[in-house]
Amino acid sequence: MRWLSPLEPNNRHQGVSAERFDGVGNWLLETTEFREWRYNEGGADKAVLFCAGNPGVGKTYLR
Amino acid sequence: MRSSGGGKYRSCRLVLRLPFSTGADNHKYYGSYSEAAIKQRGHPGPLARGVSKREEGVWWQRPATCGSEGNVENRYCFARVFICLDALDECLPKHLPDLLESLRDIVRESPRTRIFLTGRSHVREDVQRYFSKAVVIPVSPSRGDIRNYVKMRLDRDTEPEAMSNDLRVDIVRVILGKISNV
Repeated sequence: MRWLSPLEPNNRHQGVSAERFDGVGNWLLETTEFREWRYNEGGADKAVLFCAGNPGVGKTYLR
Repeated sequence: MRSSGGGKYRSCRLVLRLPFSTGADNHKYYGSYSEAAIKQRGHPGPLARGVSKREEGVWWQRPATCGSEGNVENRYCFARVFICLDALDECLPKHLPDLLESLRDIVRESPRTRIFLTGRSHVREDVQRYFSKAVVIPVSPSRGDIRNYVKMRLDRDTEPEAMSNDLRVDIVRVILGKISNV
């Protein structure tokens, strides 16, 4: 991954995973939008799910 | 993400390091590739069933829906690969179009791929420029999540003797009251 970025995203990911409080972001998993996206119900047209929000709202810590 | 000499496959390097599940038919067709092999052959190389040797690390899975014949691109489609990119807004603006274009190429060639993105709202238009039907979910502070997190941290207080029940209640109340300012 170093060719892409010197920021060692794997370490960052591991750090976030370790700090994450269990259950945070579970609300997202229960939404219709997420389920349709997760199980391919929308096909290629709905291949992308974009979670948008201000800094600090918890996007990084979504499960 | 793109490069000359097998650019689209190099893009996939990010993808396939992520864990992904076996196809519904429980068949596994794996292959590994190296960038050198791609440059030499122009594609990742032949697939081998049940390969157990995990060398430099990128695995390819061919779902049963992909025919054994056909051109290279058709053969190298994936079974349910998830690509997760956090903080898309932190990507340099000059690189964002290339990144999104590469993702779009992957989806076109591999329609079962799912892409999960997060970012501030101002990159929404960029995302929708490349994925017009992208599903957008607004993320706002969750009171339940924050309440549970604060309680967990209070439970780990290293000086519990300094804490009273009233103070504990006040801390939770004040922090939850600040949520609207986030």
